[in-house]
Order: sequence, then structure tokens, then C-alpha cells
Amino acid sequence: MNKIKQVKLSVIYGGIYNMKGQFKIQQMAFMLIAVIVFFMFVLLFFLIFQGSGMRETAEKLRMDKAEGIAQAIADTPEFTCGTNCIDTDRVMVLLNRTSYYQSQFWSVTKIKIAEMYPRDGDVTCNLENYPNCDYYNVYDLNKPGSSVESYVSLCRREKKDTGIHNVCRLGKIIVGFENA
Amino acid sequence: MRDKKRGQEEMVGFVLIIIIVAVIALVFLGISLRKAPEENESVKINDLVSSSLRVSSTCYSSNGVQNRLKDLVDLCNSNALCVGGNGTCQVLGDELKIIMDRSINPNAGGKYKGYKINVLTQNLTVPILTVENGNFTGKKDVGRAIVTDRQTYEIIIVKLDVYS
Repeated sequence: MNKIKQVKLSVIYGGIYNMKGQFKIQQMAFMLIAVIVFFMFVLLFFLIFQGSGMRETAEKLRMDKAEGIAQAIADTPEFTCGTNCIDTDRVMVLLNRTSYYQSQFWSVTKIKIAEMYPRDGDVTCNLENYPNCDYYNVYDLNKPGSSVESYVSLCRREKKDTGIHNVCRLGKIIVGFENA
Repeated sequence: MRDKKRGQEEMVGFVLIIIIVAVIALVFLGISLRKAPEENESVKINDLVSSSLRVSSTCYSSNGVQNRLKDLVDLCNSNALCVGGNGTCQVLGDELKIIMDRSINPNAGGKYKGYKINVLTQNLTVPILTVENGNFTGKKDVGRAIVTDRQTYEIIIVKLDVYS
């Protein structure tokens, strides 16, 4: 009888010790899950924070690239009189040359040039009012999209008593792009 | 009883670890957020400075040549005068102010809040000319142009800071 009692007691205590072990394992598992979930939230927050910074950088790079294209157009032989310089006499020659924009020579939807200093009006240039005008509409295909601007010098040759001189003003070239 | 206490000890230990990690993360975040406002070399602002300096001014030399603003930077460094008696620094400052007010437009509620132009020689810490307008807080875009004094070969830097 005593032996039977002893066996029963050992089964009961063995069971209890087994349950204790399982409980410990469960405790450890829950703790590990909680730590992992916590660090996942930390990582998520960090990635969101970093991601917003990257978006800003990407947008800035896109704008820099677009402005670079506007500058490159200003530096083409059809316009240029040096680095960052547009010869407005050449622009006047190009104003009515439809062959350039109809053949998509510059691969942009519009090219406009506006004077900012000393003139600052909105008089569109033509052969009658040049150079006393403000705005050169080289071409505009009227396609939807975005545009970028780049500052340039607008120069022309002018005859004075002392000879022929370069007269320069400040302007900007506005280039239009189709949305991707 | 002892087991209950052990369980509580473990819970406290766990919470302490979480708190320490959270404090370290917050300190790190605080340091990275408290970075000084960036100074950003901008292609657009560089173009604005270099194009502005090429503008023909209202200041004529004695030989009848119309000076560009770039020439006025050189002449201002030697305190020269225009034909008519106006100081080259005065004309340069006035024309740069009009140009920048039209281009940057700091008080119109747009992207740019203010600008500051400093004309500096390499030897001087105080600028020979300063033109400014608006608020000088926020992100700073910078553009520079270099002018060489034709007599002394000194380097003169025209620096434009635009705040947005």
C-alpha cells in the first residue's frame, strides 16, 4: 500500500514539476515575442523617419536634373553666347522657325525666355518691338506637364558711339516637360 | 511565495531593459534631429549669381564703356567712381538689391524667405559689400561666383545665401 502511495505521489509531483518547466518555457517564449515586437516597432519608426528624408532628397535630385536640362538647352548653339548666356538676336531668328519644334528637336514641350532685369514686363517680343520687349515665346506645344526655370544672361550686340558692345540683362529660360 | 517574488523580479528586469533601450533610442533620435540648419550648394542659386554679375549696369567708365556688375565688384574693391560721380559700390548694391528682390522675392510669401549677398575678399573677414532682405532662418541654399581684381589679382568672392 505504501508503495502504491509512493508511486502515486511521485507521479503527481513529477507532473507538477513538468508543468512548472512548461510554464517557464512559455514565459520565456512570450518574453522573446514581446522583445521582438518591440524592436520591430522601433525599426518601423526608424524606417519611416529615414524614408521621408530620402523622398526629399529624391525630389531635390529630380529638380536639379530638370534644371540641368534647361541649362543644357540654353547652352545649345542655337541660343548660346557663352556659359549661362543666351543671345537674344539668335532667339529672334528662331522665333518663327517651326521646323525645330515640329521635329521635336529639343524634346521638350515649350521653351520660353523672360527678361527679369532691367525690364520686368510682359510684352511679347516680335520683329517690330525687339529689343524693347520682355518675353520670348520660342515655342509652346500646349501639352500638359510641368516646367522648370533656370537663370541666364540675355545678351545682344549693340552699336554705340564707342563701337559695338555686348549689352546683357538678367533673364530666365522656362522649359516644359511632359509628365512621365 | 518565493516563486511569486521571482516572477515579479523577472517582470521588473524585463521592464527595466525596455526602458533603458527606449531612453537610448530617444537620445539618439534627439541628437540626429538637433542637427544645425544645412548649407546647401545650389546649382540654381549659382546660376543666379553668375548671370547677375554679367548684367550691364548704369555705371559707365571714363572711356564710355558700360560696366557689368562683375566689373563693379572689381571697381568697388578699389573704391572707384562711375562717370557722373556715383560710387561703384553704391551702384552695385542698388542694382543687386533690385535683381535679388525680383528673383528671390522674399516678402511675397513664396518659397524663399530671405537672401543675403556678401562680397568678400580673401584677406578681409568683413565684407566690402552686403545686400540683404527678409528673414534669415531655415534651410540655406548657397551660390558663389569668383571675380579677380584686374590690378592686384586678388580673389573676390560674391556669395549669395538664400533662405527657405
